[in-house]
Amino acid sequence: MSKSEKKIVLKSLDNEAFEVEKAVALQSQTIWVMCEDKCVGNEIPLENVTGQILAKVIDYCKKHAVVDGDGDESSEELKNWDTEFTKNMDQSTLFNMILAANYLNIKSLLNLTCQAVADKTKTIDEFHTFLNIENNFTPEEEAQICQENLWAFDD
Amino acid sequence: MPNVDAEGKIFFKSKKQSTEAEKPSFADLPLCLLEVIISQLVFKDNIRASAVCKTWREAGLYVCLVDKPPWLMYLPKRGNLFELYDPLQQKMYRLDLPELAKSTVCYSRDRWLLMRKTTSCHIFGRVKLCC
Repeated sequence: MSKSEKKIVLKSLDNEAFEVEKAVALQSQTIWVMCEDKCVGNEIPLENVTGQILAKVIDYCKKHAVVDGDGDESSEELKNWDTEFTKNMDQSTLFNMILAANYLNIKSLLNLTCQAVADKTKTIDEFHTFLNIENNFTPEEEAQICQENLWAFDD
Repeated sequence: MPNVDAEGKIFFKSKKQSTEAEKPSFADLPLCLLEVIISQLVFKDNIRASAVCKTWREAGLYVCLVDKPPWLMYLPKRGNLFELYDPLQQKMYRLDLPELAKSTVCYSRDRWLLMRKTTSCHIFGRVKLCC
């Protein structure tokens, strides 16, 4: 394979172009299928992902392309890297990362970002404020749900 | 409705509208993605998530309905710390349930446990295991 064939250009919704190793991009099942079907050239337009999010997705894929498949020590290192990666992401970034991971079909990234959301939300109030979800239950419905599993709402 | 300020610029009066634009609502995620989040919540938070809003309740119920292998329940030799092991996620949940202290399991069906306290034959405790 020549050097140019090993590289692939990913173009974001806002027309930001990222040149990456093919091995990095192919962690996305969506891109893998596109390349396999030969329905794209060397430049792949990703119409659902902004440049800001795509840059983070590429960071993740680069890290995982290098370390995946190595011994225990590196898998531990990778786990720590993953934790750091999502630790300081704000709500909006996490939301868009989940959508991007789903669209690009990168299962491990989807699980990681969903786990990060799960870790950041413990109380009902956190669900409402951090996730910006409106409580659309009537007070009666809410009371009934709490009553069904009283022990889960006792603190 | 957009409003026009003194300089003639169009702006949105509601402050909420502008913050909402920056902060998306997770209630808008497709159901299949909500399920991924809800299934990764630890046991207690998973139950709480069902009280967040109607969409999450729906997603939570669906996750609950998925055919899952049974959990293992370890009764404490002393103290009130019950351990529940989920073989699918390989996660151990520890629940402090003082009301079930010194209880034994008599019967289990449809996610319900019938428990009996050894100190008294007349008191029965029931636990609903939802996930």
